This record gives sequence, structure tokens and C-alpha cells, in this order.
Amino acid sequence: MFGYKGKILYVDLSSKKLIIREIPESLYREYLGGSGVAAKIFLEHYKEGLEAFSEENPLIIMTGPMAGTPTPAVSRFTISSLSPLTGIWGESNCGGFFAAKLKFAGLDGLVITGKSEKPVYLFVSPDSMEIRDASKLWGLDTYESEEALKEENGKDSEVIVIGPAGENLVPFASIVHRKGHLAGRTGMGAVFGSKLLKAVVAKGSESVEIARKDEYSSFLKEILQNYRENPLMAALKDAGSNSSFDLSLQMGDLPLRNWSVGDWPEGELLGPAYYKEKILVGIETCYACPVACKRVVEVKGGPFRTEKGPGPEYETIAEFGAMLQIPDLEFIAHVNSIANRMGFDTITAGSTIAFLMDMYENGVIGKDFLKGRDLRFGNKEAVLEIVRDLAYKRGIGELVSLGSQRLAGKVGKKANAFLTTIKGLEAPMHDPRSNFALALGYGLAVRGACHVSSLVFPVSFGFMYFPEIPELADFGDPHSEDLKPQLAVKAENFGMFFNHSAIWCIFGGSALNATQAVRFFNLVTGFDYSLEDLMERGEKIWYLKRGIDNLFGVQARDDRLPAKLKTPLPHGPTQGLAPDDEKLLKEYYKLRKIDPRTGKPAKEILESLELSELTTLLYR
Amino acid sequence: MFFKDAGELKQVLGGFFEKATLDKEFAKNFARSKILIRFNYSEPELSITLDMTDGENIFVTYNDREKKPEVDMDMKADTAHKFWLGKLNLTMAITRKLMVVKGSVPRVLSFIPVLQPTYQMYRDYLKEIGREDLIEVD
Repeated sequence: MFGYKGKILYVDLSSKKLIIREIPESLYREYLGGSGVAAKIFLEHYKEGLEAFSEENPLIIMTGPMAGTPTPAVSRFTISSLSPLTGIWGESNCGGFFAAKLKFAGLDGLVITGKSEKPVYLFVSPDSMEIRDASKLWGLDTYESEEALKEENGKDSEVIVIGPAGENLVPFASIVHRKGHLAGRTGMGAVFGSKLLKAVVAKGSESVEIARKDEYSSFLKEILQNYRENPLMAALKDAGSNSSFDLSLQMGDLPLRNWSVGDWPEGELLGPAYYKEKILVGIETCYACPVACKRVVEVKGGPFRTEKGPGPEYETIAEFGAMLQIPDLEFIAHVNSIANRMGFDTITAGSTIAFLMDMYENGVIGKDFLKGRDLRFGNKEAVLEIVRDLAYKRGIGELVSLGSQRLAGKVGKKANAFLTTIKGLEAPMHDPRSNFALALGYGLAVRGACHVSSLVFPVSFGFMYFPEIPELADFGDPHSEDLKPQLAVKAENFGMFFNHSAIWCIFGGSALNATQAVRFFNLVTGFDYSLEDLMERGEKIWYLKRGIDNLFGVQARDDRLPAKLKTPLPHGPTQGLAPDDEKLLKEYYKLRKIDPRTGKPAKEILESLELSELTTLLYR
Repeated sequence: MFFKDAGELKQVLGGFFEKATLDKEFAKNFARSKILIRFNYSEPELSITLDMTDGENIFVTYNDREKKPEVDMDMKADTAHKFWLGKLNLTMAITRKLMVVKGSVPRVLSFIPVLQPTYQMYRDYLKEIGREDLIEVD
């Protein structure tokens, strides 16, 4: 087998059994890799009543076929499981160096079930695969844990680890790698914690075989030259994921004050120029990525002194800056460092704090609900207290550790007007009022509101361009509903291949067009797929994940935007604008053959895609 | 094409840049970048160079081949017009090569924070010169 290692390690932490399963090429040909394969495996483990913290809930870590090859921006892994935050399909993916190392250890992925009696970590290499004691690491933060594990296993090992947030089952706990690469969303870190699994360590140097080596080498050379000449790659190298912050602010793409206002002049203080001036001290990259968009920051003195380490990404700056109305990059760098150490998702954390602030300032909740805190927008002291305490579920941190949806349940119906979740997941920092396509991008995202669950966002924002797919090349005015359902369907199908199964990074991968991506995939695997072939497999994977969501209760009513995201703003760049999600969904459901009431895909479409197991479960 | 010839383009876009240079506060803000940038327009053809190297003023010249720009930006005149109206997605224009940047892209992006007021200024200018017909375009 080329590209793939053909092996997945199955680990049962209850019985302490480890089994390496040989994976037939036919499975990879159909489900491609990454979360495509993970969804297939997840369905095999599905049973009624499964819960996120059930021993039977599988934690599936998967790479793609190009991880560990020199192909740019694709050495990533996905972690999938039933999400403790949303109660539906959860997944998150992550760059860095772990995916390549897992392949070098001889594995395509890991499927972890059961629950250990004591804290453990999993060690994998070509020579040994074992469950090891992690009692001494339990309670340590992610930085300390990774350092200790590298000390124990060698500097050439790669580690993914949880912090106190995962250990204490915060439902939006993340998995952290090299201190600043995070599988951030949907609480996969809490699933680790529920199994008393502290970390996975991979070590090895087995190479990944490429099917058509000579052709691959010359193609790679050509593509690397494209990277050197690509203006957006230059922008990413220069300013990281925050390079488009100023544009987002100007376009009305950046949500402000819990999605409630359209203007914020101080926002300029969070842009790339200030990032460089105030906190930037270096840059980092991921395995085989020529872009190097990761930032290294340091705050040398003052109240938010922060040691040199990974810097905040756009989403974190938007959440703790724009959403909470704190135009202070030193503060945000400090918060980011705590979040990385504790291991939690800054999108859910920031949005949950903004949700509380908004309700407090509008008199829906009082100080008594907030444990005596004056949680107004801009209150740095209170935010810092929350960030320090939420992983330990202490004080006001305990409230925020629930996430927005559960908190809304505690407040009552009045909270709904302030919520920003879809299917239980807080929306990320791009506003559908400035780009109507996002109403479907978020509404139909299989893990809940998300900008990377498909390619709707990167394509409609403009930094990805796939001229070979007509629906992704021409999709009309951003403030019109026209052509958006067609865009969404194709962006989901292609995305299931591109950034979910092959697992290209949405930033580094954006230098490629569809033809180039397909060619890389074929050259590495030796397959001979056309773009259409891969779109068909992407479609199948999308329906599989949607069907899994349906099994856990998702209905059509769950595909709507929350009121906050579709209420026109009185001022600013999107003044008076909002997408009509009913109109968009009506057409979308027709295209997808989804029942507009139950939200289930029609039996015929599932059968035509040969998803027989799913069809049986949904229609028994 | 919104502009029938280079003369009209010079009158409209060039005139707008020249007017902007007279607003000392605006010019100073814009010129903080100390950049020398040249816009090479096609359909119709004209190049406009903005010299801000003294950090305080904007000097506008046309078809200037003597100054050596730090950044060259090639685009159709219609693309430029939509941009100054605030109707163009800059990221998409660069990705789709509607705007071709030769030189430092980060230097171009560093302008974004000071661009916000210019969109309205351009519309006001078009009204002032009696070219309201150029405002409502697709």
C-alpha cells in the first residue's frame, strides 16, 4: 500500500488489550483517510444510548495518506468521537508534527475504547506499542506534561496531551501538541480525560512510501515554486492567521460584542501591525509546510507577562478581543498561554463569556448568578479569573466550563436571544451577515457551527479558489441567497475529501487548486481518481456524518442560525443585512434530498451511496 | 468598461488621488507606510504612482518610469474602480489574479486599516465631479 501504512491500532483501556488491525485497501479507496475513515469506524461502534463518556465511545485518531510525505500543508491528524459538548459527531484536526510521526511509527491511526483504572499514556513505535503509567503526569499542565514525556521518551518523539481541563472533563477541553497546535473544538480532550488517558506518544522513522516517486518529485518542485510566488502565502507567513484581521473588521466579518454591534474603532489595535509591534518574537511551522504561519510571542513585563511561546491565532484574538471588547494583545497573549496550558478551546470559552456578559448587561442575569462578579464587557480582571479557574471548575470558572448551551438551560428561555450556538457548538468568528453563504456553512456543519467543517468559508471569503468546480467559482453576491445552496453542497463534498480525509490545512492548502490536490493524492496513493470520483466519495462521507448526527437526534430545526447571527445590525458594514436561512435551507434540502422536517437524508440517496448500515439504523 | 480612455481614467482615479493629497491629515496617515507603489491599469492603460517615501505626503505621477516602486499592482481599471467604491473582495481579487501584486503583499495589506474612510471619499469625489453614474455599478 502506498501513502497509507495499512494498519490501525485498536486499544481497549479497560482490558489493556492492544490489537493491530490490517486495513484493506478497499476501505481507504472508499473513505480516503482522516475523518472519512473515522466516521466509518465510528458507525461500527455505534449503539443506542452511547454517551460521550461511555467506555464504549471510541476515540479515533486518524491521519491521511499524505501525512509524513513532503507534500505541503497536509501532515495533519483528526480526532473524532461522540462530543461531550454537543452530544453529536465530534471532530477536530491539528497540524504540527504528530501526524507524520504516527505514520513513522507504522500506523495510520488509533481507535481507543474503554477506560483505564489509573492515568495512563499510550506509547507507539515500530518496535513497541504499550499502555504506560501516567500517574505522575496527572494534574500537570500540557506544557509540563509534554516536556516530561519528551524527557522520558526522547526528543525525537511527538506528543499529544491533555491538560487539567481534559482531566476535569470540561466539555470543550482540547488536545494540545507542541504547546500551540490544538485539536481545539468539540471537547475531544474531555473524552481523553474520561478514559484516564493523558497522552499519546509516537516515535519512529519508518518512511511513507510514495507510489509514483519520480513524477511526484517533479510535481512537488513545481508546487513549491507556486508557494514561493503565491501572495496569500506571503501574507500568512508575514502575519499568520491574523493577517486578515483588518479586512474582517472592515467587511463586518468580525463579530463584535457578542455579535451585537457593527463598529469598533479600537479593533484596529488587534490587527497584524500591532501584533508585530507588541508581542511577536518569532515564527514556527508544521511538518513539510513552507508557509510557517504559526506565531511565537512573548510579553516581557507588565501585568500580563507571558513567557516566550505559541501566540494567539485569529479566532482567539477575535474571541477575547472583539467579542469581549478588550483591545489589548498582551492580555490576549496571556490568556492564550493559559488556555494552551490548561487545554481548552478558546472559541467556546470566549463565546461563553461573551454570552454571560451580554445577558448581564441586558439584565437577564445579575451578580448573584455570576458569583458576585461584575462581568461587563471589557472587564479584564474578571475574564482572567475565569480563564484561570475554568479548567478546575472553580468559582465563576465553573459556570463558563459548562459552555453556552448548558448555561442557557440554567438561565431559562430569556437566554436564547443571546445564544450563538448551532447544535450546541458556539459559532466561530466570521459573520453570516457579511457573507450569506455562512448561514448554510454553519447550519449544516456536521459538528455544529463551524467554519472549517466544509470549504464554504474559505471559498466564499475568497482565499481558496477551485475554478474546476463551477459552483465554487461563481456563487453570486455575498449578500444574496442566490447560488449559495449549490455552493454549500459542493463545498461540503469537496471539503470532505480536501480538509477532512486528505486533511489539508485550510491555510497552507489554499495555494492549491482542485486539480493539483487530486494529483498529489493520486501520485502518493497510486490510485487513479478523477476529481469527480473524489467528490462522490466526499459526498458519501458527508451523508455518513450527517446520518450519525441524525442518530443522535439532530433534526432539521437544528440547522437554523440562532437569532443573534441573523438579526440585522443598526450600524456598520453590514447595516440592515441578514441572510434568510429558511429560504436557503428550503433549496438546500431539495438538493441534498433531506426531509425538511426530520432532517434525515432520503433512504434512496443513502442506498445509492451504499450506506446500507446507516440506512438500516435510520430507517428501521 | 467604466472608463472610455486613459484621459477619463486619469481624470477620475488620478483626480481622486490628487484630491486626497490635499487633505494633509489623511495624507499623513496614508503615508506612514513610506511606500512607493505603482498601479498599472489596463483597459484603458495608465499607470499611477503614489510616492509616500517622505512619510508625510503623497506625490502622484502618471506613467512614471523613473521612480522604482517597491510594489507594483496590475489590474484592470474597472477592478480598481470597484475596489475604491468598496465593492471588491480584496482577498478574492488577489486569489483570482484580478489584482496581481509584484512586491511585498504584507506591505499592501498594511494599508487596510487606513482604507476605511477612502471608500466614502471616493463616492463623494465622484459626486463632486458630476460622475454619479459611476457609483452604482455591479
